[in-house]
Amino acid sequence: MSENPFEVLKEDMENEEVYLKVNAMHRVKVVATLLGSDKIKSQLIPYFETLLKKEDDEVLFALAEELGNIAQIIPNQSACLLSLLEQLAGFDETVVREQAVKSIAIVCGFLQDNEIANTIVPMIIKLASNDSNFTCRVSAVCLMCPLYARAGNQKEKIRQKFTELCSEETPMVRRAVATKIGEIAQFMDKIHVIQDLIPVLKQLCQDEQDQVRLLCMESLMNIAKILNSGENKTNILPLIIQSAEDKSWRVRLALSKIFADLAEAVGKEIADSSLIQIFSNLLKDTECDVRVIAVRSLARFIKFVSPEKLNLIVPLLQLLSKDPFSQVKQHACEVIGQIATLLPKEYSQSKLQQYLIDLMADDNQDVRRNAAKSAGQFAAAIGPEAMNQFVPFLKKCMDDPKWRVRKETMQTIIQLALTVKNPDVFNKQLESVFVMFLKDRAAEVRSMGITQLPALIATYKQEWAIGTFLSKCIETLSKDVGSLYRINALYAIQQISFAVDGPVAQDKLWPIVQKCLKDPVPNIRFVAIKVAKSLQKKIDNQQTLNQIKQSINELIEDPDRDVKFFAQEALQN
Amino acid sequence: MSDLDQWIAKLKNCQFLSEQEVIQLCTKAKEILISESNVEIVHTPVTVCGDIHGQFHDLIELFKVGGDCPNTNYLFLGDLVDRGFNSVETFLLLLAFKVRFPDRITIIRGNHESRQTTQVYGFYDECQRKYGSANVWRYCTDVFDYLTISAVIENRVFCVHGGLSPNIVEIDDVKSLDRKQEVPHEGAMCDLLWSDPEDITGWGVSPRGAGYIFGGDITKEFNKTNNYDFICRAHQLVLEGYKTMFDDQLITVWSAPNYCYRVGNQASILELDDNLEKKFKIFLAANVEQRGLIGRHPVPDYFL
Repeated sequence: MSENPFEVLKEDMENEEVYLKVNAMHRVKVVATLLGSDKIKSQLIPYFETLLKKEDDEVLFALAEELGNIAQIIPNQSACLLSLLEQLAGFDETVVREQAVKSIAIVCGFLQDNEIANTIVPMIIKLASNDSNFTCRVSAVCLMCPLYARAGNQKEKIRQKFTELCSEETPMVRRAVATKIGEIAQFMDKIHVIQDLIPVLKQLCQDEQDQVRLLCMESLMNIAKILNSGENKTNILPLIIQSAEDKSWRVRLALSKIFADLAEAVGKEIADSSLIQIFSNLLKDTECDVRVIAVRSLARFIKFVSPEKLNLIVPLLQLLSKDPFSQVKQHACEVIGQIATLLPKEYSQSKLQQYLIDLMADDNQDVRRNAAKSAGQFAAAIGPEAMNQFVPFLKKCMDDPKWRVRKETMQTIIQLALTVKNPDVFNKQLESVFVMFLKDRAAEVRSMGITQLPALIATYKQEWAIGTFLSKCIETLSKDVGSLYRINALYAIQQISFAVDGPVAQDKLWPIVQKCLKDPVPNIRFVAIKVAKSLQKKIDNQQTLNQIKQSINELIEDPDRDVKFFAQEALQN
Repeated sequence: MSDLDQWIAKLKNCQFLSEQEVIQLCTKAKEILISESNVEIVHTPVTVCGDIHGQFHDLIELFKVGGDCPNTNYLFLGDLVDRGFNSVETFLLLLAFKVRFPDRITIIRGNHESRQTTQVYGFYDECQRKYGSANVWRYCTDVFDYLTISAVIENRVFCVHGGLSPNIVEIDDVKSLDRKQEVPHEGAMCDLLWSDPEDITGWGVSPRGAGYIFGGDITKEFNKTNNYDFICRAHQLVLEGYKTMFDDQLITVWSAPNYCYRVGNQASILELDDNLEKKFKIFLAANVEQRGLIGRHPVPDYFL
């Protein structure tokens, strides 16, 4: 490199196109490495100072990022970058100052604790006290969190400043505080959390701006994780009660989103005694968006409540399964499936089964699909004896006009068959629904049956595969059945062939395939060639193998080009 | 062969081919299409599909209902390009299927398979956007000239994109046309790609400005003369996906669900089995999840 890299950089920065300047800025790491720490301090940094006043936000964003990279090159001297970063942290443009904050955190990674206490903390306090620019104060809040732990004897100062900022007039700063208060609590001693942060949190939960109140919710959850049950009851529970009745639906929605995590954090005692009641109200909220999110959280919430208390939820499920809003019903299906695994069998059957059956017949196809999915979980939970009353409803779902619902139902039946592992139950109840895939109108449902066949054969063995199932396949191969179904049945036979031994393949399967090789429809002929290939691998009787080879050989002269091609391909290997 | 299989796999993923690959594919396609008759003979079983109009993800839905090529035989009635966001991928995928399995899929020319129409209704712009030049558009429109203009299934069902022509009485009249040209503004070839059936008697002036409208009497006469059971065509949007007219002597099949991403219509395909039994399969547009990252396009102004 004959040209001075620094000069190259300065030249690039004279460009008019912003994207070229941004690209140049991203190469600054190379320049810095070549310059070395002394020249970085004496030349590069002063040059950057000049850029701050005139450059576009995009360039400055790149600069903020690169300063973090440069810190990694000169770790021991990275403090020299702080003054630039401090200025960038005060910029109007959000992404620039967020990036600056990130880079400052990188720089701090290379500093000793006492340097943090002596240099960084004063910088943070300065930013936080900057009356003219609210952006500085926002950045200060963001910086306080990761650095609090290392602030040493300055911790008190930071706490003080933090609590001061929560009473700010500027809502942007209060929003930043609301977001970060949960984070900073993780680094504080519990006593300070209770003494200093809780009052702040209380105040913010009553803020006049709903955005601020909304952002408190996540912090609420994070703080609840630190406190013990008693402390949560005194401090957090009143705030939950208050927020659940907030006049802004957005706050109620934010609360609903984290409700399951809250229940986990505060523990079973409070969840049982108070949270169920509060959550019931959210599930009946007048605003449909709140109900949707609440139902979604409900599926997880039920895990953190004592099973005896779950019967308080059940009447709510009745309401939710009749909700006018289909998304609510969709998620209600999931809850019913989940809750059935936690409640006693007879209870689920008597109370919940009807709701699920109604949902399986809903007008909306997504609701029906989710209901079919949850039906699997439900049926597995109520056990094989009770299942036989329930499976007929699943069978009805196979008449659904929407193939996605039928596919989901088929998936459920197959899952049930694989988990129950009981040939009696399978043969009496499930098998007749499963074989419906052979005649389904949609190719996707038919091929799904084929892909799941190996697992079923592995569970229910050769006896079923070459018994009732094979006879169903043969039925489907009769002349007056549509060719697409015949092709599917052939693929089913191929799957059977993978699971049986030579003699069975020879006696039971080859004769069928042999006939198909002479089918008038070319598509069936070339699919039969593929199946015959699979049979060849299983059979060891030389006479039969010759027969197979002979039959495929005849197709080399077939009038159809694709049959000829697949025959040639089969004989080559 | 393996090149083609690679191209098919790529296109099924909604990734368009490189310009070089398009040249190769189009060259191969022309070699195959040039030997097709103006009235291509098609055997049952076959699944007949109507307009696709570049709605690639809905074409994938179609394959999920109708089955994959080559196990299912397909007959596409044209209008594969224009209006949708993925005319390129749609056309190239079907063309690749045609080259790989020439006897398993038949493609008929629609009125949108034309240089003039594609410059107005989106295919030209899409090629420009995706390839940076008009070359691919030129190669594809050259292939359009080679596409056949009609098909007959088992000597019983006449398939064409638009409809009938006063200049076509017997099927031999179609065979004697010279089809290897840009779609003309008038004449028999134009009529076959532009006409519409209508509840009138005789012939009428078409509101489209090309082709004619024709009534049930014309249809029945044509079918009687040529010994056809019915005519199968596309060209007109049908909310229910398919429509039968004139005592089942004419069927319209439409395979673009939620046309232009806003009409909210159903789509259908017609499965004709070994014994010419008719089965209509209805399907809807693919969900947002299936479409993947298609979101960011500004709505082009060639939408209806």
